[in-house]
Amino acid sequence: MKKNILSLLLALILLLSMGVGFAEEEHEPVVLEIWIVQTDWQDAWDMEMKPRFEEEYPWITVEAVGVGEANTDFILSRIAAEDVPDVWQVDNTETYYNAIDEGLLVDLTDYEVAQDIPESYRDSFTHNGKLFGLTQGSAFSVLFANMAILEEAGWTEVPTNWDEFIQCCADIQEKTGIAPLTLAGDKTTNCWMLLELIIGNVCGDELGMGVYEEQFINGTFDFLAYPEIAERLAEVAPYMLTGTGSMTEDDVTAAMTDGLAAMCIAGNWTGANICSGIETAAGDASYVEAVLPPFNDEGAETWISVSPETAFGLSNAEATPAEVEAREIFFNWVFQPENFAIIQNARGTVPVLETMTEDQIVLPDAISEIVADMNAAPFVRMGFNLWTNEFMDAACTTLKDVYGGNKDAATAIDEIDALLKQYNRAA
Amino acid sequence: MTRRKIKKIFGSVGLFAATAVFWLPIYYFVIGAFKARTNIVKFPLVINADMFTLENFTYAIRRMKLFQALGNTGFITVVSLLIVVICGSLAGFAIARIQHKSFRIFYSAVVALMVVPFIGALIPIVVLIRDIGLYGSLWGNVLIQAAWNLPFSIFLYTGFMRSLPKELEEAAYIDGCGTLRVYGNIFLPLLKPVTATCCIRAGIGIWNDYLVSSSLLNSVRQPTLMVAIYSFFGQYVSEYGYAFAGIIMASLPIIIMFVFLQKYFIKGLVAGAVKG
Amino acid sequence: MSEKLSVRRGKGKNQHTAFERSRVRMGMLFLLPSALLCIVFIIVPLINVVIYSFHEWNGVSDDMLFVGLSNYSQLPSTEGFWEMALATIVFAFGTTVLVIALSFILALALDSKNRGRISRSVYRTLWFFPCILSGSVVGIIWRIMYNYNNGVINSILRGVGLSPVNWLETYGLTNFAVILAAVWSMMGLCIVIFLAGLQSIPTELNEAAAIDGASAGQIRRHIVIPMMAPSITINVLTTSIAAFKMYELPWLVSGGLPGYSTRLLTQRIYFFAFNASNFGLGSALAVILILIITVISLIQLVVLRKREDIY
Repeated sequence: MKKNILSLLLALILLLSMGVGFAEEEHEPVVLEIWIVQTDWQDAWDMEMKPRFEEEYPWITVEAVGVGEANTDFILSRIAAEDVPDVWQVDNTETYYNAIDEGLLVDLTDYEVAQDIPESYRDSFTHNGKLFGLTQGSAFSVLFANMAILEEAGWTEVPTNWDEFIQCCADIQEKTGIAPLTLAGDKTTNCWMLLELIIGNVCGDELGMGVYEEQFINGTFDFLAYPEIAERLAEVAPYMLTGTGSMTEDDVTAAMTDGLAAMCIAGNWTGANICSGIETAAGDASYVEAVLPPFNDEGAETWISVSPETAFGLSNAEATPAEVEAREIFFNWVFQPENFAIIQNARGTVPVLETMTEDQIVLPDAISEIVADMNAAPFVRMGFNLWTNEFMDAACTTLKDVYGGNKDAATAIDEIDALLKQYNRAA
Repeated sequence: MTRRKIKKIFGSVGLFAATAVFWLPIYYFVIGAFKARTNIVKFPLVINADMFTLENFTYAIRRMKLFQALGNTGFITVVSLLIVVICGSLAGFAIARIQHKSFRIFYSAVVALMVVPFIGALIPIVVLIRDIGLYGSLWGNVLIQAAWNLPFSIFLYTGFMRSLPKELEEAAYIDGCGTLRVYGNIFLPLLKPVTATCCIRAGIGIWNDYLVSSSLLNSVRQPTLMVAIYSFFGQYVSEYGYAFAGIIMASLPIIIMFVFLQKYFIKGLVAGAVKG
Repeated sequence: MSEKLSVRRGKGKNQHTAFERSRVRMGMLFLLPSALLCIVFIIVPLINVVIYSFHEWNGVSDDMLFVGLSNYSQLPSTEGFWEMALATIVFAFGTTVLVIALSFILALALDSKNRGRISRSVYRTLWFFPCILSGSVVGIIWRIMYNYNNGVINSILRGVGLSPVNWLETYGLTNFAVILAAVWSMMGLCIVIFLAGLQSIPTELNEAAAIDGASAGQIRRHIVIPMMAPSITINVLTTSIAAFKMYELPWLVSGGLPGYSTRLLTQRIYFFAFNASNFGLGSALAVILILIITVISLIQLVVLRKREDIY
């Protein structure tokens, strides 16, 4: 009798658990749309991330959209249409503020995975008190050099301060005939990078960390109070590779690969491509050098520009319960260290997820050597964290004219100063 | 005589040379599509067996979602052309063959609408499509394309049907035929040439459209060819081979059509230029 | 007798009008779908763009603030507005002039007996071909060709011992570069129209003039050009309208650089609305652009109405 009851009970439990199991499998299939801003890790997405996730959650299909970094129009029109993806990469720019204010993005403050991100990075993705994105890493500006060309110009070491840097450019131009410097002028982030590095090194020590950013956002930063900004811009502009103003990051990699330029200022996120490009051009990996851009005065600290990497935001747009569940599952899944490592390794950026272990982090050799310096260096925030789209468009248009040799630096800085007064986030 | 001969030689050589220069971009991108980037840069105008590769195509097909884009563009083109032809010919018939003041007013309005540039109305159209819930749907795109191509097609159909003799339908009416049957049995069969003109003129515009689809569609769920090629190029700017392969594949259907139907193509586009 | 007649006549008239009325009703039914489409998707947006242009609106929020004409008065002081206006005019004017001049010369060459063995229709097809390519495609091709370091044009220049040219970063020259790309894509259409015009000139006219001792130049000046006036008018108007409307082709070629010198007003509409989230400002600019194009088009229609026989 007891046995009977026991078996009955067992059978019941079995049935129940089967039923539960069945219910779990009975998830209606869900397709999630994911926006990826940086298309350079799309291969990693296709080959590793998507298959791994879909194997774990067969009822969820994840479709990634390579939005591309210059695609503000696309993003804005989709936000305007309230037709947003389920999980999307976001930046702390005004592009996304409407979406946040309209409640299209979940406030992540209480999410468990958010606690694995350092506080300062959470702060930089907080708008009107809402944490709208979790960042995947930290980005910083780097000077990449092809030492084969520098050596030909008589430089066995990368310059360590501004004066040396300018001298080095002059030597390269004179002795090799190769263009000393290039950058991706077509991409606003990189176009502005050169100037913000100059600003950081000219006024950083005087102002202290965080002051430039605050003044910039309020439109009170006075470019004209520091004549050295314009002077240095004028000094470096003539050494730019012709065509720099209209080059994309892809073009910069190509130029370094073809040995058209000796050095380039670029984000560490393109480090892997640029390093292998220089290796091709110079014929040996030992000629690849990456340093913090030496825009500092002799003996002074080197200021760099940094930014939290693009973050992941979670959609709050209307959806079926199954879709909402799938979104959450995917979002949390991304921030598990073993999954996050896929993005990190493909991007080569410095991860900020505290749960990640050393062996999960892979960086290009040239970059990993300077990570410690990067973490210790004083910094200014990259432009896109601070500006409005109107300022970005107009200021970069002006800067491209300087890089193209069409405008002198002093005029350009005058214009940029006036632009900031008119178009700032406080206005 | 000799002077004339010299002139003739100069004329023919000059024209041939000019045509060759004019075709240089096409030659450049067609051979470029089969070469790797370094070869495009180093040897822009030559190709040989060693350089030949199909890698650009396989890459572009994978990245551009080519077949999906082809399907979407095809769907949008065919469906909106269908609407344009049906609505345009019906309206043209009414305007051309039935006397009434309101039809004349409508016709003048339609002619006026032909000149409005789409970009001018883009902003409210995005808002409108969003408000009626068709944002990101191919149907929103179809409706916009149909509506914006209608005025010209009405213009064409009206002009054509006005040129037909009046006696054409009179007998039919006397026999007691209804208006619909007169349209269907007598006029419809005569409309073939004007329909061909209309389809080619509107079809090329819809196929090649960038602005409408980029503003109204989700480029992932519903990529269209020109949006796909635009964003694809945006991402791989320095990989010329990919861009060239993408361009060839996106334009191939229309190029093939052109090769076989060039007479109609030229006629259709010229009609557009002359009247639109 | 007379009564009967009048009755019959009256009946006939009634019948006639009843029949007419039913036809008109049917006609209205025929018009209905077209009218609906045009009203909802063309006329309503056109009314709305005017309404938006009087408001301040970010395109998303529910509140639109009425600001009267402030968007219009603000426009001229926005960044680079006059440069862009100039760029638009230079682009439209330059494209039109070059397209007309080059395609006229080519049409003459194709029409001439000196064109050699290749037939006229083959040449016509070859020159027409770029017309079927989309603006995006043409823009991408030319952007790549103009690239300073890797483009084919500079490769050729280097190959023949000339120094490379910075096509996309030189004021003035870049305008030319963008115009050239547009001209390349638009010429074919004009050539075909010119050819049709040339073929409509009676050969007797040329022959008679030649017998009277007129030189080739005189024939061209006094017979060909006057006879071609209608096709020239058509080509000028259609090309200039198309150039004013152009959007993605010039943008892909130059990105509006250097400065604002090749950035067009069409591109600015998009920027205002979707990049700067200022739908009011974008709409105001759109209204202005509509007005410009409408004026040119109306001139075209007036001219064409007189010349219905051309098609």
